[in-house]
Amino acid sequence: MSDQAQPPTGSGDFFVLGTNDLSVSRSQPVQGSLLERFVKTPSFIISGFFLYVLFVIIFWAAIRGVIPQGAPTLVLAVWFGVIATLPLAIMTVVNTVVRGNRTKIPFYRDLVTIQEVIQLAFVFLVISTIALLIFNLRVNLADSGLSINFNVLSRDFGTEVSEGPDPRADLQFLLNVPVLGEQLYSVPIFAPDTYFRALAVGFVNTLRVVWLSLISSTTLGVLLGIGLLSNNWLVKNVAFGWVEVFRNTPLLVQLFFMYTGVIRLLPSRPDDALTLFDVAYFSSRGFYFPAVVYTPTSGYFYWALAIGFVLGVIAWRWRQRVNEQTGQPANGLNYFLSITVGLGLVGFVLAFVLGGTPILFDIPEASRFNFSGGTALSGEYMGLFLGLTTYTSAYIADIVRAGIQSVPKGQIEASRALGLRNMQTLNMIILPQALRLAVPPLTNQYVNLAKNSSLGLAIGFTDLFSVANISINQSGQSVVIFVVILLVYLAVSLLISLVMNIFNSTLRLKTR
Amino acid sequence: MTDFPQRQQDLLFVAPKEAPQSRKPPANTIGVVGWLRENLFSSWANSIATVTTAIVLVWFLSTTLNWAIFNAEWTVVNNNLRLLLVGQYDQNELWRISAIAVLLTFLSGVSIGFWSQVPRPVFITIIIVLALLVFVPLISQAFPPPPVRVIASPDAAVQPMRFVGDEGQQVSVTIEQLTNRNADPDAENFPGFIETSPGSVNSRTIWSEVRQGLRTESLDLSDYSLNFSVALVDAAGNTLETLTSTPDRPETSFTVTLPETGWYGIVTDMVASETGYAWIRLDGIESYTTQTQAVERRTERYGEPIDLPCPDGGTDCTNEVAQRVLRYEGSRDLFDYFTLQVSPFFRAMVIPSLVAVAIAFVGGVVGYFMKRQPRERVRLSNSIILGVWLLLMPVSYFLLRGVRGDGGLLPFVPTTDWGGLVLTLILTAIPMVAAFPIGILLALGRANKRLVMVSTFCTIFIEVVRGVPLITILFFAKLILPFFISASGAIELAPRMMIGLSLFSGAYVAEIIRGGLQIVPRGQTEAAQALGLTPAYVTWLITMPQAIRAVIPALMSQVVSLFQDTTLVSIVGLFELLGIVELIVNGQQQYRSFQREAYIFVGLVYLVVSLVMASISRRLESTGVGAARR
Repeated sequence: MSDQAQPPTGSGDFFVLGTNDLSVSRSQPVQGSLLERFVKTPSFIISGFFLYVLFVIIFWAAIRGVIPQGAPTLVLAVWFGVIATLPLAIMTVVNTVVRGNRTKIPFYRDLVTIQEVIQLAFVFLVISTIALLIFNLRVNLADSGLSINFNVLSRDFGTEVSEGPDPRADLQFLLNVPVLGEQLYSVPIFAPDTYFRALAVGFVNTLRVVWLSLISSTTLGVLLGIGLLSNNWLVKNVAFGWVEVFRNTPLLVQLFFMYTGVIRLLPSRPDDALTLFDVAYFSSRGFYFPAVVYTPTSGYFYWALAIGFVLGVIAWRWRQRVNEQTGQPANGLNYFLSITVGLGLVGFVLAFVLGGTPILFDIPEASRFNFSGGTALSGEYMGLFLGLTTYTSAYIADIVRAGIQSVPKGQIEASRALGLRNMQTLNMIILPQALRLAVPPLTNQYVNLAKNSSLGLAIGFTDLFSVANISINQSGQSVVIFVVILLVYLAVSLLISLVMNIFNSTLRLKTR
Repeated sequence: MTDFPQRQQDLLFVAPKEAPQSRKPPANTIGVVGWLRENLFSSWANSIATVTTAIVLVWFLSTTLNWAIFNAEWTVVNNNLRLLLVGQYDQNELWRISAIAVLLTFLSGVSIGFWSQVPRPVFITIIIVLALLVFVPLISQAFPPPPVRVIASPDAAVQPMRFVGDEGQQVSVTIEQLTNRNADPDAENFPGFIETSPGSVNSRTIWSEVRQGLRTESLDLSDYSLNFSVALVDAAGNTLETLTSTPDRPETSFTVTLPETGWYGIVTDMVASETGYAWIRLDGIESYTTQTQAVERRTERYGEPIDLPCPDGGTDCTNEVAQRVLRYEGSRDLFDYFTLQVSPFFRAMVIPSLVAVAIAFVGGVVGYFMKRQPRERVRLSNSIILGVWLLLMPVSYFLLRGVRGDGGLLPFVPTTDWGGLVLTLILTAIPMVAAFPIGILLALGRANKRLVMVSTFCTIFIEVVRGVPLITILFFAKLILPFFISASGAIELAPRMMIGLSLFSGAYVAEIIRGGLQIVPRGQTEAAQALGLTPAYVTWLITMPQAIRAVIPALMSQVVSLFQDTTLVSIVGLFELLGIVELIVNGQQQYRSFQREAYIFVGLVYLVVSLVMASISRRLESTGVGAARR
């Protein structure tokens, strides 16, 4: 067994001693010069191919001259397929000839050749089909008066997006920029009131609801997951019931219920709104709570806090290193907290001395017809937030449960035998190991949460998808808007995956 | 015992004459107390958790139950049962849905009897779901529409009502005296219902006064003297029957068997207004749902609705019977809850469920005997049953849709009329079956490391579809897909949604199957190759069966999530189970304030079906085909 762990000996030796897995022997190094080896790697071939197809698309207008004028779309698509797969076909032929010379196997019996031909046919078929569909789409849309026009993004959106940052206000600062400001402000695509701006506001709204429900559902999910394994019968069963109910009901039903059955039934008049110490108000219009207001001296406090945070993190890591090297207790959290809070306090006092309080709250006030002051989360936001939280928390609870259960029981017993307290066992033994197993499925759930936020459309929350929906209805440019939201959602999914993968790699077992 | 040496004697143990007092465990470690101590109060932290949870739980349950029993209005479900089950499917063609349901139930029964090794819950679920569906016409006939009650009072004129009746349909009109429930607890016609017709503000205000009076017993009902007549007229304006109520003869009724199919009207005429109030109760009249649509459809079939004279001499005062749905008001006790809210639902369900179970049982017996045949015949029946299962889907789709143009026996029912639970099931079944081959091909393509291009294309497709929300794909299917084919976008919406759902779940199924392919040991493939099998045979005979068997539980979960995801088509404009609820609560004004009840009911349907499917999945994981060869 110990043989397996040895690194491969000799430079060209790809066999690992003691392994009976023959697959290892398959991956023989590609022979030839460095350039030749590079050229034969799949990623080079694939990216080269896609670059070429892009090239064909860009110069399609010029290439089209080859094809007889007035040909039906089918012929056009086949031509497109032929031209796009040309280099692949040439490569296949050259490969076949070269291989035939070397191995003396007739090409029709050479398995590699057969595979390459199949692949060529597949690629040709796929590209031709896609081309056919897109040609058809262009013609058909043009026939119905909806020809694709990418300029739609810089056109006037018309209506106001009711929620989120103000697209007019947040670009005002550009006007103060000395030289380029005015020009930048009037660039059609960035200008206020364009489709692009509206979609951006929608995107910000999506992010606003996603990050908060991500935090709340994780918190709730971890609590429920621990509850699922509690030795308290009541807690265990309540958690179980919660998970089963919210996991087995469609999210959309939950959203409708939360919005129409909970939020909309709250009193709508500000006077009647449920209130929390007259500081925060719940009404069917939304959740109103105090806002933090900037004062002239706020800068001192926030900068001190930020510097404290950075220094605190550095101190934490330093303590961890000390702990690893010397075995002294790390106490990282204590160092972090004392530095951050300490510096924050210094900043606060400094600000106070220099000229008044750095933190000021703007408390909302309920009048007869409206609320004034404070900030608000709209009723739609609250409905979406509640629905996403309950739904996702059920899934996260199950992931956490599975993670904790994967920690062998012996470890917990051993930690008890060593005299660790329950919290210590949880913090130092169970959670680090459970988290390692839980992170990949958690990533999935976070991506799902981001995607599910698009259901805000159903209850009237103006997220990216709702704005896109309005845009499509207004402009009829379904293809353009669709491509935009496709790319944005893919980017968000990839971003979450990326962040979680980085997090995952920091958790991975590090062997010294 | 005698001659043992002393040392040995010491070692001998002689049981004492009296058994020692058995040492019982301490009383607080066994029984109820012990259980409580161990499970709820093992430590102080635990006790706090228990008490807190218990308080929250009791508060939650008491609030919920209090609301559900004493305040909620479940008639929104009871009165719209048919809509919830089959949507706006043509009422005269409902037998088709029943036929499919009967076929499915029978086939499930046969399968239970025949393949006893197939987990029964699979088919039991199907039967349970079908029990909700079977004999939907039977439901609508055995469970007559709730009687329509209209209040007649001296101050407000009763507006004329019109409806469509079938030939031979029995319609009865009754005049009932109002009874004060507080004064007469045994009274049947206690004033629990009020009529809410959105058009007539007048009668509503009057009735709220009446109700107030009845509650406080300030209204003297003994003085009953309302003189009026109720007449049933046909489309030509001929009076079929008249009923006159006088103070001497307060409660009367008539029943008419309608002579032909067409429009009818009910006209009331106040003879002399004195004091007094009465119900006019109409039985056997079908109440429609969305008024304008219903009227349009009836007009198409039965011609223009009749105009009825208005009591005040004005025009356009006629109400559809549909608009008059009853709403419970006032205080309610547990008895009322069961008789008025719960029992109508279960009364409607009993017969269909029994019929479904009976059919499934007959099927089971048939299947059992098919199994007991000689081997060749069993093999034949095996393929027959499989074939019928596979054929069932296209056959039912065709049956539900009918034939365009002159359909004859099977007139065309556009998919826009499909809805309710039926549409949900169709939108789950067809995409799932379609997703299976798509998923297998994509998984094979992606797992193939030799054909780099193929694997790249498959990977891109899978990742893009998995990376975007389902709703974008449905919008793609709604807005862009039709233009791939024609300029008019002529494909119907429901098939488009099926395509979208198939592509979406195809990508997910592909990832599941790829996971299955990865756990098939490499040695298997290599052994097969060593035996000289071609790659296609290796896949078809060796890897694929093992891979699929291993991921059956995961596929089941995919079915559950697809079943839940079908709710999204309601956003796109189809009336499946959730969409039809929106139609009910938004289309019928009188239900607008009962959205919560409707959503809870639909949520419960999803919950029950999903829970059953999830439990099947768990079972398969531990005992079923999935675990068999791992």
